[in-house]
Amino acid sequence: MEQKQENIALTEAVYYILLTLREPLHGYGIMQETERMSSGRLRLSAGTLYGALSSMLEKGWIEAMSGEAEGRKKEYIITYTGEQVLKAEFSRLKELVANGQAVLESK
Amino acid sequence: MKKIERRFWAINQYREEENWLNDMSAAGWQLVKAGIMKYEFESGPRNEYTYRLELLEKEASSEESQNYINFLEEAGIEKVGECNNWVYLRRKSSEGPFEPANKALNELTHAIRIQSSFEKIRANFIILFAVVVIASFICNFFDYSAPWFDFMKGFFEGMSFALAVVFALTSSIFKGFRRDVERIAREMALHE
Repeated sequence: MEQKQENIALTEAVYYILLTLREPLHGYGIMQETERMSSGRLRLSAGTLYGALSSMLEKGWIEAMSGEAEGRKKEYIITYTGEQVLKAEFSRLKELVANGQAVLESK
Repeated sequence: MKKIERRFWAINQYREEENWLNDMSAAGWQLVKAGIMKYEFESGPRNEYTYRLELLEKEASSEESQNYINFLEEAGIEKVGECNNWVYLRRKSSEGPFEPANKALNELTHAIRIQSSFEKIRANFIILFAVVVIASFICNFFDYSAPWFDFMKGFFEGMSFALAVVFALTSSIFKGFRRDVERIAREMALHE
């Protein structure tokens, strides 16, 4: 079942969620932060976010912070594995852009 | 002011159902409670809420689904009703569009969930069908006649026929789901 994670493109949603989770955030915070980062372009739906968070928790890319007070919204943070996945994706994206530039912007 | 509507919808008509609720909202009727075939509306500002139907993996009362519903509530999405694994959700329209970011993925999830719940029902039908066919076969095997026996024979034959009809009718719906899944899968090969 375990595939080599580094070679697989992340969805836009997952990429942004991981970016926002370098600081602890709760669900709604992730949605707001993603929207802010993408200048309003990417609006995560709660359903998509919930599914993505569950899968990423399972894979160990993020973890839930142990909540202090009762009734507090659950906060998440990126793990070391998550960081590696995010960096691998970042390199992949840079490659895409570099190749796009080389082809489309060459004279 | 309150208003109660009764309405039936089949599992493959959930989008029409959703549209109906949003049309009601546009006409100033906000759904406040929903159950099996029964809808309770309250009059309120036009388009105050946007409604969505979602099919959950497990029953709405299960712990997993409850966790999800709580998560939605934190994001300003309210559950107004449930019916088996379906939940009626609404969000204030002023808070922005209420639609999945990854529409294709969302549709695919729904299509697969509908298909698998449908498959379970059909599997039960197949077992029932096999039982009545075998039973009516056994009945015909005996050269015996009595009112109760003839009644039983007739019952099994009638049941086999009825189930065969149900089966034929549901086949086309089933094929429709399969086409949906394939169409979405093709689209997902192009877009995220």
